[in-house]
This record gives sequence, structure tokens and C-alpha cells, in this order.
Amino acid sequence: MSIQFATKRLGKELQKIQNYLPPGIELVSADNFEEWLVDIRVLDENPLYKGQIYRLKFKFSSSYPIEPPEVVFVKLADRPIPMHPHIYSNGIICLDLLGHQGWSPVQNVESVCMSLQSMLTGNTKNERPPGDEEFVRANRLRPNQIDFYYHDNNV
Amino acid sequence: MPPPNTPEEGIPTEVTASGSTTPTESIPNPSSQISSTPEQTPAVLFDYQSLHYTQPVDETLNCPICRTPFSTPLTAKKCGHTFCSACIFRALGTQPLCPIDRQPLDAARDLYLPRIIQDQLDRLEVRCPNFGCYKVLSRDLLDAHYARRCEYTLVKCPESDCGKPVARKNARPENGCLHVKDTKCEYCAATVAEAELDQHYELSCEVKTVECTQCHEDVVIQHMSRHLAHECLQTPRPCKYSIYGCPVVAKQLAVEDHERVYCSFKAIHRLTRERSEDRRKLHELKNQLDAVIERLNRAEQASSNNLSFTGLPPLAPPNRQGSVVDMGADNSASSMGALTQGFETNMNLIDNTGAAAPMPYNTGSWASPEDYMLAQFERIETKIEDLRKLVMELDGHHNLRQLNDIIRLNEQLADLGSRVGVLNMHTSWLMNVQRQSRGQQPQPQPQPQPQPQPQAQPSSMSASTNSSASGGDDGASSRTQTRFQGWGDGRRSHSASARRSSGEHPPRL
Repeated sequence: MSIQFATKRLGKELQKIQNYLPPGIELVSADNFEEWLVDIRVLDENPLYKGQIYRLKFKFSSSYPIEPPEVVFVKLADRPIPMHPHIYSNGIICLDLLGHQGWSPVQNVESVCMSLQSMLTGNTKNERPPGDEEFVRANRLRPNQIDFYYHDNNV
Repeated sequence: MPPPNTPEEGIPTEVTASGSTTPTESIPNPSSQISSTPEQTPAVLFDYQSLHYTQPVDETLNCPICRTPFSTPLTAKKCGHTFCSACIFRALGTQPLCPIDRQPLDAARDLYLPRIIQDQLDRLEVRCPNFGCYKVLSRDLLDAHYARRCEYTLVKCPESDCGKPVARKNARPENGCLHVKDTKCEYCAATVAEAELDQHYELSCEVKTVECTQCHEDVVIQHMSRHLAHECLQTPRPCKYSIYGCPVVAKQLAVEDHERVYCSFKAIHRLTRERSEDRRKLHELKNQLDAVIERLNRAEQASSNNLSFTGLPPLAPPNRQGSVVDMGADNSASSMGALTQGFETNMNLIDNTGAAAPMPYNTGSWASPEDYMLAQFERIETKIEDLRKLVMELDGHHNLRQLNDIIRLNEQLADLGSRVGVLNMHTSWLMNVQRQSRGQQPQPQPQPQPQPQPQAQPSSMSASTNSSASGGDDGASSRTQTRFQGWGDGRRSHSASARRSSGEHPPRL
């Protein structure tokens, strides 16, 4: 039942996304209802991200949209991981919206992409989160199982 | 789910002469209309989220969680956000907050069914979810259609030990169990059970889909004819005003555009519609005229036959009562007329249906005064019946109100009873104290000192006694003792000072 629920909801979203997406967001592939790839770029003149395109990977569980999707940046030859104090160099994003507490079933792929866009737009620090190397080396958890402590209200 | 008293599809609500609907007449008997076998209930329930809506649905009627039009909407009392019941319960299972603004939300207390949204949803036009059924109907009727009427709903196989679902149209006892009968698919030569043929076309047939020659979309082969007729946007079809001579034949979208904007035959359509309406009105008027003429003729005949009508013109509506008097020409008739009139004014106060209006018009057509009186009696009878109903209704209201009052009075009585009980307790307690102190009187002075302590707890009624008793010094305690002694003497203590009598007040209650 719940698998159907997620599929139906994603079908609706896909239908909408294929018709229209906000500027700077582009659907790369959505071949199934488990994993979608989306390209985003920052629209304004922020020198940190200007001219770059980032690839996002969405993974949906069978309890989507009750549970949040797993969203990470993917590193490819022409798709870097954006520099941001809340984005680890392996692409894992520390954003309360993507955690179990901050997620709400009314969020969708489009709204998540837009949140990430604005999170990048508003950033001025060219740095990784503290303890990035250690985290990247040691972490074996799935991104949405990590218990982040959301402390920064400025992003 | 539609409200339980929704009128059933295809059965108009019947309006009686008095203007009220009688529910007993409009409730259908589903079993008699389809079949008397008990296996006819649907084997699977359809899913509201997969319904196909024939018209675009307003975005505001979509649940923010499942993104489809609400099924059984529920609105949060505090923030006013609305969700499907299934969606919001699922979301609240994870965290008890409104998914939109994160206000605390209790599933049991903070949700209600928004009537107006439900009404809007009920009006949406949907296609029946069954394969093969192309019926389009408003959403509140869908449940009944699916559960009782649709021939394509899957029901239990008539063979009791089979248990597999089969379309209702095939579930006839004379067909037997279609799951054991095999048949050949006409497209791919596979052998399938007859009951599963439709599913086979849909899912497993090897030449499942063919390309539509018009729109190049893949279509299930079995549905090609329907696709060409209803769905394909590329199949040319004539303009819907072609019966008025419009020569346009074009693809679906183009034709719709044409019909909406360009077709000049639309004006003709409007004109013909108006003309047919006019014709209908004309016909009605002619019928009325015929009736009037006939009545006139009859009246003339009657007036020439009956001498008692000579004094009056046969079609004089305002003089109806007068004609009665003339006809009867005695007191009883006139009093009857007055009675009727009085009754009529009464009735006009109750309902303004204008039932009295056609009466003067008809007066001329009564063949004889007896007929007229009979008709009058009949009318009075129906009105009395109406009045009876009204009185019964009033009686019901009255009873209800009385019941309410009685409940309140009962509550008050119970309250008073409990108060009396409390007072009783106080009294008996005070009596005990009195009795005890009387028993202790001959004992030495320090004894009353611990006495006031237990007194302080039970009630405030004894506060004055306490304060005077717990004054602490010997004088005060001796005073209490004298008072208790007085009380022990009964009525004589009544003549003591006012302060004392106030101390004695509780026991006397």
C-alpha cells in the first residue's frame, strides 16, 4: 500500500515537473520512482558558484512523502560539489529540511531544489564544515540516518 | 465518501403536492435492481487517488500530501489547513504537527470535516475507475455506482469455492465459474481463463499495444475503438454544430478551438434553441387557451341550463363566494362559505404556495354546487392534513424542549441533594462534638486544649466555633463549655446572646 502511495505521489510530481520547473532547476533523469537526478545552478552573481552546475541525487523510500528523501550532491567530471559550510566534500548536505524532524510531507522535489538553491545563494563563506575530512573518512551511515545538530539559522 | 443521504443516481427526488420530499420513496432497493445473489458486493475497493477527473481540478482542492483531490477532507481547527484523512493520519503518525506550519495537531481532537470543501469535491466529474466502463459521473455518486451498479466492478465468483474476482456482468450463476473456462486471445493466441480476458488484454497480451494511426501513441489493442472515438486528440471529428450545417472536420483540439471561438453556426445553434423554447411556450399557451375555451363553453352551457346562475356572469372570478351564497341561497351555505374563506386565509398564512390562486379561475367549471362543495371539502381535508403534520412537528419540538428542561432540573435536584447530604454530615458531626464535649465536661481544665485541633479540618461551617474555642486561654475554652452545656439543655440555650446563637446555627439546620 505505502509503496503505491509513494509511486502515485511521485508520478504526480513528475507530471508537474515535466511541464514546468523554476529557472535554474533541470530534471536529468527520472526513470523510476526510486532515484531521480536533478541539476541545479545558482542564478545570481555569487562568485562562489557562478557558472557552475551541480548534480543532485534524490533517493525515495517507500514511505515518501511521509519520510524525507535522501538528497546528496554527486561529483562528476563537470559537476563539482559546491563549497558551503554545510555541505561535506562527499556531497552530504546538512540541512534540517532533509532530516526527519525538519521534513514535512508537503515538501517535494521542487521545493527541496529551491531550498538548496537559496541555501547556496545566501552563502558567502568559501569553506567546508568543521571536521569535514574526518567525517568523510569515517562516515558509513546513510545521509538521512546521520543525526545532525542544526545550529545555524542563517542559511 | 458521500454523505449517507445523498440522492441516488438516476432517481430523482420525488416532490409531493405539499412540497415536502418523502424520503421513503426515493430510497432505492439496490438488491432488487441488480441481482438477489449476495455475492454482488465489490471484491476490491477502488482508490480515490487514481481517479481520472474529466476536467482540470482547481489546485486548491488538491491535498498537499498526495497532490490529488481530497478524499474525505479533514481541516485542522487551529490553522485551517486541509488534507485527505488517510494522508494526515499517516503524517501525524510520524510527528503530531501540521505538515504545513508545524503547529501541534491532535488527530483525535483538532480535525473536522469541512462541509463546503466536501460539497465542491462531490461535484467534480470523474470517470468510473473500472476498465471498460466509460461512465462519467459526479464524485458523490461514484461510490454507489461502483458498489452497486457498474457492470465492470469486480465481484466474487458465483462459484462459492472459487473466491477469485470476476466482472459483475459475467458473474451470473448460469455462467458458472469463468476461471476454469479457457478461451483464446484473439490477438496473440494465448489461452486464458475467460474471466481474466480483460486483464490479459490490459497487461499480458503479447501484442498488447498498437500504435494509434492518428496520434502515434501506444494504445491497448482492445481499447483502440474507444481511443479513436473519445480519447485520441488527433482523430478528426466533425464540429458539434454540424447538424446546423457547419462543414468543419478537424482534429480534436482544433475542433474544440473552432467550436469555442470561430464557429459561426454557434449563433444558429443559439437561435434554434431559442426557437424551440419559444415553440414550447407557444404550445403551452395554446393548451391553456384551449382549456379556458372549453371551460367557458361548459359554463355557458351550465348557465343556460341552470336558472340559479342567471344573476351572475359565468366567469366572474372574484364573486366565487357570492355565487356559493346564490346557489345555496340559505344561511348554512353562507356560513360554510365564510368558514371556507376564514380557513383559506389561515392556510395562506401557513404556506404561500399560491394554492388558492387558481381556485377563482376554476369556479366557473363546476358542473353543480355539490361538486363545488365536494372539491372544497377535499381541499380543506388536505389542508387539515397539513395542519396535522405541523402540529405533530410542533409537538415533537415541544417534547424535546421539555425533555431538555427536565434534564436541567434533574441536575439541579441532584446538586441540591448532594448539598443536603453535606449539611447532614455537618450536622451529625456537630452533634457528635456536642455529645463528646458534654461527656468531657466534668474533666479538668487542660483537656479542651487539644480538642479544637480535629475540629479545624472537616469544614468551614464550624469556623466560628473553632475561633472561639481555639482562642487558647482558659476563659475562651470555658466559654465554649458553657455554650455546649447550654446546647445540651436544648431549647433553653436559644435565649443566649446573638453571638452564641450564630454559633449554634449549623446544628439547627
